[in-house]
Amino acid sequence: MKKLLLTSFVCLLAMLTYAQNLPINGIVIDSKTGDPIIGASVLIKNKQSGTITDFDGRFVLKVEKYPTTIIVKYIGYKSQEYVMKSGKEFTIRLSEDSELLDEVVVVGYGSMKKSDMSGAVASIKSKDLMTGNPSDLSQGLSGKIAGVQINQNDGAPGAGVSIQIRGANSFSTNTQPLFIVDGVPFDAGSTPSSDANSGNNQSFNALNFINPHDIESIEVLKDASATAIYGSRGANGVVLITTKRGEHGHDKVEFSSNFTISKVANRVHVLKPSTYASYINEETLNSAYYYGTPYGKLPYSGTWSYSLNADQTYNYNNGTYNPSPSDFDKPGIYTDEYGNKEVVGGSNWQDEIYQVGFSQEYNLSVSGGSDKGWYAFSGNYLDQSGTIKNSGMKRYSLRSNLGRKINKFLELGSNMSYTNSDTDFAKTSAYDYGVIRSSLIFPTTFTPDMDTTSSDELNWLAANPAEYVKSAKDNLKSINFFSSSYAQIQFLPYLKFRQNVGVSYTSQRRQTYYNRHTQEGKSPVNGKAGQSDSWWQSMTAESLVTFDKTFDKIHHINAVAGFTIEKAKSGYKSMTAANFPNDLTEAYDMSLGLDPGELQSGASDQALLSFLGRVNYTLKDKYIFTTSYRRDGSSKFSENNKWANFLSGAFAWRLSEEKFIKDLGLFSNLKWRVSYGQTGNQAISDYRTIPLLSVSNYPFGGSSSSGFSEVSWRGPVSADLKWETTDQYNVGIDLGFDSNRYTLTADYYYKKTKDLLQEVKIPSSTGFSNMMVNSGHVTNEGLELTAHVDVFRDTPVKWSVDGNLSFNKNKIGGLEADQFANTLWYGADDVFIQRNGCPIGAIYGYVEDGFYDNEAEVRANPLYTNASDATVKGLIGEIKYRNLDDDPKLTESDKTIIGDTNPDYTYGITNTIRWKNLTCSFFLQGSHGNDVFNGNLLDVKMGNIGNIPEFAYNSRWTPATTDKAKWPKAISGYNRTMLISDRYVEDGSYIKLKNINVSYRFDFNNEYISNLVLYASATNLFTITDYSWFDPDVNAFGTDSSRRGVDIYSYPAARTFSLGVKLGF
Amino acid sequence: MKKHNIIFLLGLVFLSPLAVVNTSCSDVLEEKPKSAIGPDQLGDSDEAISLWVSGVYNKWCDDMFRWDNFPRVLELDNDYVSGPDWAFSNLGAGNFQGDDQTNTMWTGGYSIINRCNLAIKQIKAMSKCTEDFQNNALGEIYFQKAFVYFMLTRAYGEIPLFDKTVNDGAAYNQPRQSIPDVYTEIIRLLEDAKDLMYTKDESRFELGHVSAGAAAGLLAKVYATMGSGALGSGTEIVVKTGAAYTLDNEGNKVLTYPSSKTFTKDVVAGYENFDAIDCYTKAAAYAKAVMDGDYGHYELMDFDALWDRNNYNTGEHMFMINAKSGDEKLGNRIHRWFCGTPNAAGVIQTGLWIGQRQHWYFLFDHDDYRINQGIIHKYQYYYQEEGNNACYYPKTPEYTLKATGYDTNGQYVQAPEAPYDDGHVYIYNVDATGLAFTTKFADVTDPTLDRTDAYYPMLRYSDIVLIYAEAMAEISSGVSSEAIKALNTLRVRNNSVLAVTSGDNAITTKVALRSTILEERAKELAFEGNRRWDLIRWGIYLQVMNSITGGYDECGVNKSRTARNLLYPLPNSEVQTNDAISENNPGWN
Repeated sequence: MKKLLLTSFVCLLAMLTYAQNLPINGIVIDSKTGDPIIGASVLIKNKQSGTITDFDGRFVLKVEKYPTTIIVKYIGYKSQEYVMKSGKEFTIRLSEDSELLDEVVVVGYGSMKKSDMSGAVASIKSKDLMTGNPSDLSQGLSGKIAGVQINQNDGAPGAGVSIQIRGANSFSTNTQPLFIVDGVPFDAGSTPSSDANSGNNQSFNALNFINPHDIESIEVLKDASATAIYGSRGANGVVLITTKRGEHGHDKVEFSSNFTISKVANRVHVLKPSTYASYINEETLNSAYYYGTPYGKLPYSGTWSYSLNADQTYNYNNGTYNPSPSDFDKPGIYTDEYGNKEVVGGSNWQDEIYQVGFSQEYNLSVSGGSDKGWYAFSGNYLDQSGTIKNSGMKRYSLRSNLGRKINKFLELGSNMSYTNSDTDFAKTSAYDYGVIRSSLIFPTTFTPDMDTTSSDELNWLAANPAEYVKSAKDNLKSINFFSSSYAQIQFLPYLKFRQNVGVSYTSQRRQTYYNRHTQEGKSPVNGKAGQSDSWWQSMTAESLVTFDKTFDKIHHINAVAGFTIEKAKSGYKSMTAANFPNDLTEAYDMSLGLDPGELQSGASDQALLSFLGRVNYTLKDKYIFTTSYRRDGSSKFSENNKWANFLSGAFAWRLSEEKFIKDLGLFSNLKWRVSYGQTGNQAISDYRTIPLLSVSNYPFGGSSSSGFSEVSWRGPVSADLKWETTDQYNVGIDLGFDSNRYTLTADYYYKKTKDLLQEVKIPSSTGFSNMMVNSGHVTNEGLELTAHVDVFRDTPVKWSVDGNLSFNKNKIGGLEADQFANTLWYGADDVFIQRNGCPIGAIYGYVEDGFYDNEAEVRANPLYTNASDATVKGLIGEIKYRNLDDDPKLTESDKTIIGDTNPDYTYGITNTIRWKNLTCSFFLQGSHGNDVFNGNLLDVKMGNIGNIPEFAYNSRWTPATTDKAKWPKAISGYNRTMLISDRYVEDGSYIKLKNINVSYRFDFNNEYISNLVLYASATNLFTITDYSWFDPDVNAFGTDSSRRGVDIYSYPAARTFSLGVKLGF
Repeated sequence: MKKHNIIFLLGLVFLSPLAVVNTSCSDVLEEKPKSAIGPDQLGDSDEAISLWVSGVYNKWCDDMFRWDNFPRVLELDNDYVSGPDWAFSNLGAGNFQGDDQTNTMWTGGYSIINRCNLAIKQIKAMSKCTEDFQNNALGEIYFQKAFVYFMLTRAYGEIPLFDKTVNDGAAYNQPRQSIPDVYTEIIRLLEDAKDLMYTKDESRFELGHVSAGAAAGLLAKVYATMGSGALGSGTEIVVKTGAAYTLDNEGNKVLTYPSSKTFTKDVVAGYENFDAIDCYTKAAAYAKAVMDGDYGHYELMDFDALWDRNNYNTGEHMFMINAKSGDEKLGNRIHRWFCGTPNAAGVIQTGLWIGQRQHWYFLFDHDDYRINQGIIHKYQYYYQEEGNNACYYPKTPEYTLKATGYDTNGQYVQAPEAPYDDGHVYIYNVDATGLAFTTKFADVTDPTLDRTDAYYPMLRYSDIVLIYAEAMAEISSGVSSEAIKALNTLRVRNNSVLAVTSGDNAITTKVALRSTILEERAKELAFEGNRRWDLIRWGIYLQVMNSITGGYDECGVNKSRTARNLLYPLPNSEVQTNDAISENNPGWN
């Protein structure tokens, strides 16, 4: 039958063949098996002529000229183009098209046909990852996979991200998934810091070390049947990254570059100078009226004052003008009757700190291969400047991936990458003197060039933002070397042994200098410098035996057994100095600092030993059984708790292979899956189970005497700590209709994490404020839907839609009492409560109940019924907090749950439209029902000299606007304490047009260039949200799952526009 | 055959690391910290004892004084102190929950208690050390515990007590103990400490440590605190206070003289059951023993020598928080807050934020060293350089004449006198730049640094002398001559007018004597974290604070107080996490 078909093909094509002069000939073989491919069509590019291969896979064609490009096609294989330069016989290897046939996906310690999978694994290919030109893979993944929540910490170039798969399992430990690059765990240690940059919470995203252009595919293992093989580190999910390697065929060269401009997407408008000045005057008047605070002149009085002569008379030659609010609307030089001059002007501080960011990226890759091996080299350069002046990132990376088949049974491969990055941090996500904070609250009645370091009260408040971006310097230089190598011995066709060796080394160097114009470095500090380094070195050795055989055509067994050892060493050191003779040498020569600061250094080791095994049994291609086991030993726990076992099992039924389903003619794919598995979490820091002392010297008589005391930040010793264990159940279904024109994957999961490793707050009277324990449990229950629809598939214009939607419900249980996450920052304690029945991320505080609009309302509160008139008067225009119990006093028991930072659901929708060579796609991402703790508002105190947003000013309490008041009256002085209340909790739901991408591919028929793709894209074009600050997609505490969804002067998100070109040779 | 050999060999090569690893499995997983040590590694020796003791003292420097919370939390809330309202902030305005300082007193204090308990356990377990060295160390640590409990109970009232660490089995949720129980513990600790420690005269005594005298002195102060708190509610006491200023026709503030007002004290809550006379009797006995040299030789130093850093830790100083110049952890910013950080030319660059009000200045006689040498009379802020201005203090006719050459009638009568003849134009403003700033912390190694080595006096012999005077005054009927005598030893040292029982300004009543002694404490111990606690223990804190008419002082710092201000609020986290504590102190949430 097959041969008959082929023969008719041959005849048909032969008729079309033109007689031409120059011969070309070749043989087409299967790249994997080496068998000849019969009946492959060979066409001359851009011509109607061609032929098909014969029974030996050979073909002969006549062409007009050399070189000529031919296209070789065969069903089930990827089409290939070749440039024929002479009449010499040429071997053309076609490789199977995994998208058309059965896709092979990478799983832990091996790979598998997608049809044989029994677990919940999401896969994303290079092409989909790179839409929108992400500079790191987390941006590329964001919103594209159901159940995977990716949050940028903020909008800074190279900023840290947090990735959470299927909800937070734990409060205290890291919820980042395990990253495995080409089989080797990837970790980079933490960003170094020194006392000089202690307030800066910016961190570096270790995933920046991976050039996204080098990624072939990413697999996200979500359910426990897939992750249990990673045992003690699989609880948060596993992300497997496979990098590109050379393909069989001729050498391929690809060059791409893109240019991007970025602007701050959204601003918070604060009071302009004249409004600010009248607000400050109003404060003074209010304080005088309500509290009897006396004042002489208004702060912005519009009057001249003169210095005193020696005879205590006024010196009219030395006058200064204190402008009135309206003067700021007419900035310029003000002159008095004596000829004194004073410049009156203000600033828009946000204009002073923002800029249009520009970024350029270049990527070059060369790859190729033969039946003896393959190679791939690539280089990447990225230079990105941020939307805040003096912030940005540069990255260089080089990578090689080489493999060689030494002989029939031995294969060696090595993948090495080197990345160098250079990041300039702006001090954001900082709650003290950060640049964003300064730009918002620094009085606008000063001009950028004024020496604002000269006012104590101003300095108490914030730093001059313009000076800050000009002179503060905080630079991080990182180097990462990552290598994954293997040797594979094919003992028998169905039995192989593979030894993997992975080595990773990261070195980070941070240099910080705050000069005399900044808050940190102003006199008498006279410049503050810090240098700190950290290094992280890890070694992985894995020995794996894989068995893969089909018996009697119906039993297919794939089994793997292995032993792994992972060791990591890390260390850090930092030094600081202050009191420099000048700012010229910055932090380069620390010896110039007259006041050396503390010297710090440390080192630690950790090790993990594991035995693992997995059996995957497929019966008749219909029934799939998987079971896995892993035994892990970790150095982090005490003797009795070092070892733990992790088991999993799964079953899948490919219903679409059953006759009764086939007969329906409805499904092109139908698979039902169920799984259970256990995973662990050991992500606590080293040495937590043993008591440690730290240096605690005392200067008896002025010179240091050595001393020791117990390390207190860790809390009391927790010797009995053990693994945190997650049990996860998953039920899933994969559906495909109309030859997979419509596909849908749905997964329901339930997971319960018990013996939570958590940092609990304990009474500070113990001498400690927190302690690590195993207690309580967390459940996550959710539904994930992923759908693909080819709206137009067989028309000239092709339109496809990919969508994902995830729901997750998180619940805490088993705690003995309410607990609280760590303090957010000074003054923001106990914001996140951990209470049985509530999710991780529940916000706790007081509930507001409007304002005391008049004396009667104050007296109505039993607390103030008999209060003095002065007290009552002072309370008018102040916030009324709701009393939730019988005690009229406002106490702890009047606090309640006021928010939840977990979304009800998150979603992403990608539309792709293709017409000939033109591709257009746009991607919408959203989150619904999540609250954000807007810490920025804590600085809107409606008191003293800090500037406030316009929305707060416009809705402040005044006697005339009691009905629409949202903020209390403006006052000077320090009489008011605003409690943590629902005021600071905002709905963070949003829908965002994350990117639009348009590209056009030109195909060329010449020997120099095969194609050129031009593209343009824009990101973050609009966000629909009620959130009042920059961007609701914010997460100041990064990977800390107990404090997600906090906004504290985050680097604002950028809107970017880019143009790019991709050239293929 | 050949092929198989190769496979075998290769297999061996790759499997061999496995074998190596397997044999050393348990070693691989053992944690051996490199950059830290465990408590049992410090050893059993005198050196080890010193390491533990230093570790206890360390907490005062790092972090209680390091982040400026101390001494502010001791000093900012009283009637005579003032400064810029932003620097006094919430704590200075009586809003104790608005800032973090009151929390740091609690957390820092209990951190010391925890360190003490661990150190006690470790030191007691040692056997290869010198016995009296070991005893002395234990005594020092008992003193530290007692000092912290005393500080905490005065601030928070009832407090939890720990006799061991939570690591050694103490319950995590400790209830607050009644005030009598707290004092019982403090006294027990101090009684042990006074006998265990060296006296300051012994050769083995090391400077900077506390000695037996400090424990005995503190016992006197503790008993006096109990006694004053318990004294009957009808007891009267006179304090100089009143409106801080008046406004002239142009709306300018004009400073006032303080007026004497008689207040009736309250019994301090929790102190009702103490026998005042018995307490004062013990206070007098301990103070007398210290004065008699039973615990080492103490004497009042010459005024010149008292705040000379060469004499720190000696003479009158019984317990000082030591510091190290320029050190990030062990240096502090006391000098900045109280004396101002100058540049090399002596111009104040920042700081000078805590001073005493004019009313305090007017408590003194004209020739008292404490206002002649003890406060700063001229200073220039950086912003005054351009206009060639500088500040003088105080604005009395005498100093105005010296500094400006003008008399009270506004007539220029002479050229400014030295040291005001340096060409600057001297001015005085009624605001936070016109306060009595102290020289107590002025003698630091390098005042221009961010962190300097000002030592902070936690307990001073003159305090004990005044405690003695106070105790004698209370236990005697009529006007105690013994009290007057003790008081006058200080007045002699300070070059002030001696107290007399007849003639001008004679002290003729018990109330007058009591009031004079309290006032002497305000004068002598100003800036040393005593005034608030004196007002509290005497049960006149609210009365005195609220007698500042209008509620604001001349710098605009809010001085009006309500009942909640009698106690500091416990940290919210303590109330929330401690099952044995259900609510905060009254008035705090």
